[in-house]
Amino acid sequence: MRPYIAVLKDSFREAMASRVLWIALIGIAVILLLLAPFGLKIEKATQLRRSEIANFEKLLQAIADGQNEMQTPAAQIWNQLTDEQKKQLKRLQEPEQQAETGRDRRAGSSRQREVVTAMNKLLDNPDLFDKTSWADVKLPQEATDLIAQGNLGAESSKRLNLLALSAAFPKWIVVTESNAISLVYATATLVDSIPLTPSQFELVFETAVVAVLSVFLGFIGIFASLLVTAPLIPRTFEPGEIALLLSKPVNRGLLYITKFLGGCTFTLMYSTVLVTGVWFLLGTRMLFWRTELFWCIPIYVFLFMIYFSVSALAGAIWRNSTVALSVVLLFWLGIKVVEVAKVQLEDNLVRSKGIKEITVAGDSLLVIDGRLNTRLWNPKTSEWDEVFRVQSPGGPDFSSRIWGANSRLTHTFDSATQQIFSLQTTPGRFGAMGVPELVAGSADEDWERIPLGRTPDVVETVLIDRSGRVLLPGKDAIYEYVGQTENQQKQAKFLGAFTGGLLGGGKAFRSVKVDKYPDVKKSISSALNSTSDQILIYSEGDLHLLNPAEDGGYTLQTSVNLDTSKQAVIAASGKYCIVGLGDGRVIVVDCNTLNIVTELPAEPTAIPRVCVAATDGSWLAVLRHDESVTLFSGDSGQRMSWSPPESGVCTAVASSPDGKLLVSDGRLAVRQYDIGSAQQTAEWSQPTSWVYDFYDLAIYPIWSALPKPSQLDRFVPFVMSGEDSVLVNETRGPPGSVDRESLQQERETFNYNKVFRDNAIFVLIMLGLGCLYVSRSDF
Amino acid sequence: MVTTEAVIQVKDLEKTYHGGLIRRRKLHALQKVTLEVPKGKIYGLLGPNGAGKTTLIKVLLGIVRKSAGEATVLGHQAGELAARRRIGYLPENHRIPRHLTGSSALEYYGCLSGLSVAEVNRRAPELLDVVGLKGREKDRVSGYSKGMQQRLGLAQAMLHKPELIILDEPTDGVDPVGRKEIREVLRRLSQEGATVFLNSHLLQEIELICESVAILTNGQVRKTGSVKELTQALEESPLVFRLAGPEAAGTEAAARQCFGDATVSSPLVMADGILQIDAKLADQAAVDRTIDSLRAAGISILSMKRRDLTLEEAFLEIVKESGT
Repeated sequence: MRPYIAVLKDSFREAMASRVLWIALIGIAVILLLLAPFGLKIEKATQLRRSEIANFEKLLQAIADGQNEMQTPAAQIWNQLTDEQKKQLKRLQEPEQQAETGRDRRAGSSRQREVVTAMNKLLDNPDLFDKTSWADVKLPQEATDLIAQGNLGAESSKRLNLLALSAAFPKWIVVTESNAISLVYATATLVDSIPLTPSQFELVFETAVVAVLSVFLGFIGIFASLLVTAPLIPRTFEPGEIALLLSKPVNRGLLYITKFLGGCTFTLMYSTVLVTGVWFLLGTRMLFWRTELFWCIPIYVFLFMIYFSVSALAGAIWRNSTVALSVVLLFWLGIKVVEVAKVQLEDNLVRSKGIKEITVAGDSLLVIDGRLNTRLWNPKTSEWDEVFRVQSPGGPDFSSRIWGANSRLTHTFDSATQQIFSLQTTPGRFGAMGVPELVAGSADEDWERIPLGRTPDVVETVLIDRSGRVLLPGKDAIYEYVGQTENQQKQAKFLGAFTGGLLGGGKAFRSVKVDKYPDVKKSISSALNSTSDQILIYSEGDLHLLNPAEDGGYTLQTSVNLDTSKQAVIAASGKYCIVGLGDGRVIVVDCNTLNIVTELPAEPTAIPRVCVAATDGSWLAVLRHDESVTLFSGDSGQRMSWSPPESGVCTAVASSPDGKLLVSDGRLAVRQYDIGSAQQTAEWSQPTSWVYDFYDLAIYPIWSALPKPSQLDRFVPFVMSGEDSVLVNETRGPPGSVDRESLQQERETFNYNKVFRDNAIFVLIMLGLGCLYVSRSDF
Repeated sequence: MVTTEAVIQVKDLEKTYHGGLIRRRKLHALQKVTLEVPKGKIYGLLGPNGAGKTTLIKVLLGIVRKSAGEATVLGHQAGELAARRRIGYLPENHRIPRHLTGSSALEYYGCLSGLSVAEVNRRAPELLDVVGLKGREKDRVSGYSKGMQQRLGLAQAMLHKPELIILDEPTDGVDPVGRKEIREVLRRLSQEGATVFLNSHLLQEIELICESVAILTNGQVRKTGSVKELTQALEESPLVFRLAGPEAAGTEAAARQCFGDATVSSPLVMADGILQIDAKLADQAAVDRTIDSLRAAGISILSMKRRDLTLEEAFLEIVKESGT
């Protein structure tokens, strides 16, 4: 080993002797010194943040109601408002022609800002909190302590006001963090009270750190390293040097590999210095001690190895550093071209046109594609024709797709009325997701989308019981669609358009009587057992079973905690309910007792996306984000050994009315299987164009064979987040607009082993070729 | 014939290079080369440029793969690690990495030869002194002159006390004083039992130091043997006549007439009036005629013998014969 250690040591010496390294290190030192004065100041939060207001409309309504009340927080707030503020509040409540449908996101965002600013002005008022007005409100301990303290300063007074305000309207104001962050540079405060919660700030900051490291290490660092190391191998193979080296008792292949590893020392030193410096600064100045940052060092060294393995091989063959660099550049360009082609084809073809949901609507088969368009199978042309179009021109545009990305758009078929029901989600007046609109369509109406009114609250699922009732479980109640006359529908549509859903549709729904409606939180998933009409509601770890009562209402039968705070997708039929949890577990519970029958362990890289239960209760299925399908027996609740051949590429699962399994192949085909015989019984397949063939036969195989350095570059966000999958659309939309926990969000799973294996195989092949060439060459 | 004492044994060694991407060209660098280098000797390899000398050395070291034939070094197949451990090599136009200093270069190459850093540190001062680099070991190699780099190259070749030292143009760029020092170092190594295989085109160097020589032209060994054997008089060698005439003044002119058309050197008149003339006579008849003429002219022939060749003459003669 001694000779090879000597080569490594020499490479280290060579790197240390490199001017570029010292220039890079000095550059890093200067950047770190400039960044050093940046710091964070954490203080008690005294202001309301936009994300802490859960429902702008209802908060404004509650405050406005204060004018008719006596000695309530709302009344006190109303009384403390100046005339101008009262006018402003009224104006904010009034519908605006400019954004009548509430779809103007900028206008919504602007209104949000206006409300937050007005509320924060209110909090500055030391007379806002009044013991009498808050007499019936349960204040948090911190507020009680402040009241006991008396003679509060300006900041403490604001803090008390904030606590009192959130305690008065707990449903509309949720103060999640008690601290506020200010950004300082040396002694100067740059941004006072950043309008983000510390956890949001951490998320944003994390993203920024990853981006900065990606630029400095992933791009500049690797480029600089390649510049420095490109001559290393060609120089080694110059006649005067290689003859001397090969006369020593060293193996040629090992010498080549050792030289290669020696070349990596430059990147190792560069990245170690930069990452350690950044880690230390972030820790000392920002209190952001994240040891995960050190993963950047091996990751970027490995990333460098991919490119350097190409440079080394070219350098050994042509013995010219310029040629070596040019070959690396061509290699990088080639990879980029293939990657871009693959992403574009997937985004605009495979994913966007691929089937995401399947609904059997009587004799018709409907699917929803990746762009949330509804398509109907046309047996004459063997194609999927677009139907059930959105009323606005052009169908669901890009922004609505993004805004609706974390919601599952499904159609629920009512066999009694031969109609499909669906929830159309759109941004609300104040920017965030508003209440959805219930829409319906039928073959008789040529699948025209008929609006039935906005739901009274945020609901996510349409359930239809055996008697044909359309039920919509919400946070506070189960709503039933009771229908409207044609005139009422027109009126609702008109009002809904004007008020962004504030007033529209209310008459079309009524609350279903529920004995002890469970305390459900922010997000809920619900399912109806098609064989028993039981309703199951899941919310942040709790699964509730509601049994139908004789009076048409529901009774909370039992609840069970599934030991998680993650979201879930559920489905129920027959004896069992299937729950796919955000932590990757899949649980089958008994529908009468909620006792766990089967539990599949968490698969962090295969988080459930959809749960489906056979209409006749004969099977249950879970479709995961890795496009695999797992089936469970409707008789025993146990996992079945059979899964459809499409498992692994499947993007939609559904049940036919007679209990057959419908799956999509991720493209334009739906196949039907009989679970009992495990045989395919029907197929609806639209022929794919040559572009699919081009993707399948050219782009994808080439992409598979090539290394994927960009995937390695994306490893850092995964490490920093500590998650196995990240959201694809997270960077789209305003901060906080994306429900990170939603299982419907298109997630990108990071398969550590695969990424490292693929890239390592490439590096090994390159090194192998290099060794072979060097071993068989005359020098 | 292979003897057990031979350090390098080469038999029918061939090396063919292939060039050209489309039209493959063949270049026969070595053709049926056979030679033996005895242990403990300083052996010289002579040949014009492109004769295949460096190729032969590279084959012996495993830097270039042979095409055919046999080559063993120190009892191992040429190029084997075990053989290379016992060889010190100084290539022609070698390049020591510029970021190294004299001592760090020795450490690097010493470790490559399998020595520990401690061993290198123990041997380095003496070697640096021997090659005349004492006091410059902390300097970067980039600041060394060609001669200094050559000395450092020699030091690294000797560092691990090899049994066989192969030197390719070791005195290239070295001043005369340095050359003498290097010759002394090589002699000492030989006395200590090491074998030196020297490749040089400086015939004088070879003549001064080598005990045996091989002459290589066009990839073929034309002659091997000791320097004395190579420079022995040939039939075609000039005859050296020592003549004495009755009158010193006219002897030179008379003698010249006697040699007729033969090529003669400028006569050398010795202190005692004896005249020495080198003459290249075509055949025995010419010799007889010349002797008769000299005697007829009253000139006494004190002695007549064929002259030994210089190595350069022998080399040029062989090169001429081989048609290079």
